[in-house]
Parts: sequence; C-alpha cells; structure tokens
Amino acid sequence: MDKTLIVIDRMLQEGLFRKYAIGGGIGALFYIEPMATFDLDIFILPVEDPAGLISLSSLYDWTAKRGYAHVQEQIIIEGIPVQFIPAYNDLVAEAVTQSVEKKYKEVMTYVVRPEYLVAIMLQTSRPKDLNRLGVFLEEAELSMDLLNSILDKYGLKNSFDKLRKGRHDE
Amino acid sequence: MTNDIKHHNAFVDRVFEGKKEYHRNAAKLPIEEKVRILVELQKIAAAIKNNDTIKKKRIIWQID
Repeated sequence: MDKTLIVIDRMLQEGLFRKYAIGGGIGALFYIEPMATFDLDIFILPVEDPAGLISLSSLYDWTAKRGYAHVQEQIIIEGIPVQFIPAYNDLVAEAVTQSVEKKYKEVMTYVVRPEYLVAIMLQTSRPKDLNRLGVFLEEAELSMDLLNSILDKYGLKNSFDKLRKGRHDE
Repeated sequence: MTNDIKHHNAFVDRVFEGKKEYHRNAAKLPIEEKVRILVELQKIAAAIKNNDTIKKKRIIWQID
C-alpha cells in the first residue's frame, strides 16, 4: 500500500486535486480491527475548472498515461484498486479538510478522523456502514465532544441517539 | 437449576468479555499488520464471493 500512497501523493503534488484523505473501510482500518474490504477509497477535494465544473478526466488521463489499469470506476495503482471520490457534500469536504496525518511504513498520508468517519457512516446508513459503525463504537477511541459537534452541525444527532439506544436495548 | 443458569450465564459473560478484549486488542495493532490481515481476509472473501452470484470482480491486493 506504501507504493500506492506514494503515487497518490504525487498526484496531489502535481495538482490533480487540492487535498485528499483516506476514508471508507481502509480509513476505518486505522482505528478498528481488520474487516474485509477491497477498495481503497480516497476522498478528494477536486480542482474546479474556470467555469466551476468538476472533472475527473485529468486524474484518469494521468493514471492511464502511467499504465495503471482502469476497472469499472476503479484505478489499479500498484496492485491496489483505488476509488477516487470527490467530496460530495459539506460533511465529506470538512472530513477531508480536517483529516489527520498518519504514517504507513515510511510514507505519510492523510486519513479521515474517526469522528468524521462515524458521521459519514451514519449519514450514508447502508447496512455495511451501520455494521462498521457498531464496531467503531466498541473499539475506536473517539472524542465525544468532537463527535457531538459534528453530529449537531450536520443534523445527525437524533439518528446517532436512536442507533445507540437500539444497541443498548439489544 | 437456578445455580446452573447462574453458572452458565457467568461462563457466557466471560466468553463475551474475552471476545471484546480480543477485538479491542486487534483494533490496536499497527496499521501494517492490519493490512496484512486484511489481505488474508480478502483471499477468504474472494474465494467465496467470486464463485457465487456477485458480479463485481474482487481484486486481492498485492502489497509486496
């Protein structure tokens, strides 16, 4: 994964996106026990063209030129399927902006904070998100002050309280 | 009978507490070790999923 992260950092340095952070299952892996996942999800703050439009074509061109295969929406970078996801709402954009630096082997990278991962999982609420969220609440070290402020800001407090109550009643 | 149930519940509680402890410790492993375990999990999951009706091809990571 270190070689993949080096390539992603080069993409950042070359201005293909403004900022990135690892999210999804691999973002979660930094905070909880290993669970099966196949994609390296990279949330990005994309570069807008002068008309304010967002295009990922430069990113796909850049990787294609260097021989990285494209499989469906993923790009296989140094043996790992990478999914670049433009920040699709304010919560995800803030999660990228507030990401933390982490080291993988000798490579520095950016990872979404656990409190933002919780909020994103709650907002997305697919069955696999809710499953992972349950594990998060058991295992991850969370700042409840930060988490509560994020949940309040994005209107997720009620959903979170319901989820916690449901878990407590089990 | 009541004592049997109490013993049984105490045993189950110990088992569950042991499992929790195991999972909490797994959460504290270095990220490099977690990725190594992840790849093993991918191999197991892919062996199951690639043989059934799931259409999306699963690519096992090459980390070395």
